[in-house]
Amino acid sequence: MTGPWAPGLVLAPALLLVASAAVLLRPGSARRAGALSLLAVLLSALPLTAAWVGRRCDVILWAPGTAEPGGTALALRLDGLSIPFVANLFAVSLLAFWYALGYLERVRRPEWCYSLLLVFVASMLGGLLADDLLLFLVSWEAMLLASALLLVGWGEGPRASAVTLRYFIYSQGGSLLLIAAMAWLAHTSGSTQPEAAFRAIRHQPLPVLQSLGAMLFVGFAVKMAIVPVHGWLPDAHAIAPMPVTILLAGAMLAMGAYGMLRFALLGLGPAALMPLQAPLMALGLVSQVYGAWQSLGQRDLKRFIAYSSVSQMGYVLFGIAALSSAGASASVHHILGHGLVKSLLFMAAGVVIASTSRRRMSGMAAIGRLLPVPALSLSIGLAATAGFPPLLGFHTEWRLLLAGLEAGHPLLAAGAFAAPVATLAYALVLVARMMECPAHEPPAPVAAPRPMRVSTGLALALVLLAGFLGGPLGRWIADLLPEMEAVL
Amino acid sequence: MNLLVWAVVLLPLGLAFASGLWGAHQRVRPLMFGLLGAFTLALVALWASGEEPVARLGDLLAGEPVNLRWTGPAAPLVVAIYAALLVYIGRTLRPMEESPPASLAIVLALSSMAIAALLVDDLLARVIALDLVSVTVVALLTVHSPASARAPALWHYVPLRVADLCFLYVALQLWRGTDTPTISVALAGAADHPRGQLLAVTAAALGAAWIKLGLPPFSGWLMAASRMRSPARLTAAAFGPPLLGAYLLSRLAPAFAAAGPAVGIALALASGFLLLWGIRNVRRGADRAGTLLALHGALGLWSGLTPASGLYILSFVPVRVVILLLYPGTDAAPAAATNQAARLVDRLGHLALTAEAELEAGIGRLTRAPEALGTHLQRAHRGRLRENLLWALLALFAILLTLLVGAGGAP
Repeated sequence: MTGPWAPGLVLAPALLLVASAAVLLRPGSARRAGALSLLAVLLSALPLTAAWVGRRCDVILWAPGTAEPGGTALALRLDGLSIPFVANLFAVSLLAFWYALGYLERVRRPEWCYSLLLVFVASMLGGLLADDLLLFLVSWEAMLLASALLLVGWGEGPRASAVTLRYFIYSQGGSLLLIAAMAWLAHTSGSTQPEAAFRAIRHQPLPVLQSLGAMLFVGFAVKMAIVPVHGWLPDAHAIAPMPVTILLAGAMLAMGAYGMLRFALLGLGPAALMPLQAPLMALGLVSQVYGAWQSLGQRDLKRFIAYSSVSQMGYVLFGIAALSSAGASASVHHILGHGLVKSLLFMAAGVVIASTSRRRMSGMAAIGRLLPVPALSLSIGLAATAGFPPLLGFHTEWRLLLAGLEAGHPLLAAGAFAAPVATLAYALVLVARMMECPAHEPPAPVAAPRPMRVSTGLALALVLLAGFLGGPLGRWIADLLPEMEAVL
Repeated sequence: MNLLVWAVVLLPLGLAFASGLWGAHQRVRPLMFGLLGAFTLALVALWASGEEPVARLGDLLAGEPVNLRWTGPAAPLVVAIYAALLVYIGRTLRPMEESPPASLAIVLALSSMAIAALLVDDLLARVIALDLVSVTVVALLTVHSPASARAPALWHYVPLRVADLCFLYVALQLWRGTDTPTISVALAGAADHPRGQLLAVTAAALGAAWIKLGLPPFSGWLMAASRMRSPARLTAAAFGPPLLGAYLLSRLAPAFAAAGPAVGIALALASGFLLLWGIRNVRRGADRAGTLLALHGALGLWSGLTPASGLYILSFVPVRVVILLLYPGTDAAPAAATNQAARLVDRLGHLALTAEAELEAGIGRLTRAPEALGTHLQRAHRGRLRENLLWALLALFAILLTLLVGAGGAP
């Protein structure tokens, strides 16, 4: 156990799980369950914030075989790589739970929904803090289960069950690959502690390491919804209640990127992954363009934003595939930006839907005039996505493009400069639609619940702030990753 | 002196805020004249001092200091912008009703961004300034479009953004080659880049300048700006993206020369194309102002390779202001090209839906393949009991053999 605040690593997920149980045991109104959940999220962030001061904290939960060299121990760790992802998780969760106060007021069994939401957040936190392969896999499976239950229980529309089944099959397919890869890793190295395990297998033949790398990349690519394993994302995002959508898009997609960085890139090292570089960069590029292209054709507002996530995850994969510390830190920066921007987009879309009962793209005409603040929020979110300076997307975009240029594949790097044009095209589709003047005056909107509006305002402020502080934020992330610098 | 550099960039922005905030013409007027007077004094003082002061912006982007430099090549262009702004304000303030405050604020913000783009000495900061100029011009086009054409007018941003991305490519390549984002140092080292990289940088820079100058087939936004009836056209088409495109050409001229004869050949071909396009447009009686502006922009392509580039860039804004004053705007056919863009995006979107449906169907067929294969085999073997038993025994034998071999080889 290192660092004075190391117990905070156990306390944070434990607090979320206790709150999850408390919400169920003391059922009350939806508002009360929501307030308790929001408080739990806020409180659980405190010990982690304190632990962050120590920069790197480790805590061992259970160590049955540590006496033997390379033995097993269930351990948690907060280090430079996990800090930005934990910060992203808490920022997105805070926004989602605040938003839920307004959104989940009228759902059935709200206490169950809040309880599962807390388990969902706790499992993601567990995955980010896990310093043990087994603990990581358990958290990973808990995350999938909680999200699937949220989708099947509170999914909107008649296709909820079918969409959840599809989500489950995709996710479990990816998980099976991860389980196989990590079992192989633990078996070969004799340890379930990632650092020791990867250190032990470095001497294995290159094809073995590459196969392991490919399994890890594909397994995590499913979670990131990289083309062609993206099929679960648009439907899941479209049917999920908005707070769940925000967590899926803003936090859960980031888990895939975290896994790639932690286990594939840091674990195996760039030398072993070099033959995979060009295919992965190409895959990232295809995702960028394909996601943007699909967004152009969507008729539903939530699916439109969902496909933009596919495109944005392509940027992240492109940065990771650069196999450099610059690319990795740019990807982490992009993930942080994506979490905030996607939250803003879905939250503003939710306000529009709640105010007008319209979610088809054709129904967005005149929204700019009827609902100026949500329309402005959507426009700013899309501008940030399209990399419009000085918003957040610009800072990450040039870093990713620079990393691509330095990766030594000039054609792929040059192609990456075309992707932002595709992003701009779909951004303009919605902005232009909101500025259109319809032939018939649409009915006047009703006011969305106050927590939804206020939390959307907070998300907008955070997006603007993160954009204006984009340079220092990028340097903060780069400073957090000295291990990455050393390995890459 | 450093404060004066700040003043030159920020005073137009202050003017923009003032006009945007107050709106009422009578109250804006004295304040605007006051700020304009301060702007004039700052310019005169900078010009008279003969110094090259530097205002530090801080290390906001790549960890290196970003500065605003009042230097030789950019200073006369800032004065030209000021002069064009005076012409614009002179024409706007007399019949105040013609120019709503929103448009006034946008024009003043555009001036501030354009000046910042000329003075900033950091490659990335210049990309930001260029992009802000692009957005401001599109905002101007949108504000001056009829209500029904405002949404389509947004599509003018696409080519301008492509140009900004081309310049971002140039900036990042120059930065990589010289390990610094400071423009003067990066440009000085440009000729030392590998030949392939230099050609790619030159092509991207020419692409960026081509679009910024509004040369065909990317002239839609310039044509739309030149057709505006508002005096705001003086600013959008004279010192907006076109001036920055021409400046880009003049600054990158050493890199073009180092890239070899390929650039000259490309420019000769381009000149032929532009000449034909100009003649065709003049014969058709098409938009005279737009055509003349585009042909004037095309001159910049040649002047970039000749000693005349200095004269060209100095005369850039006055020549354009004269062209625009000679041919007044008509507000005609504002959104034809942009409607085409919107239709193209619609078609692409429809195609995307079809492609995704096909992909889904393909995956569906793939997942149903084992079941279909099983059904097919079942049908094929129905009623053939002995043959099936034989196959089953063979399979069992293979499994047993594998297990035995595995057990024998185990430690």
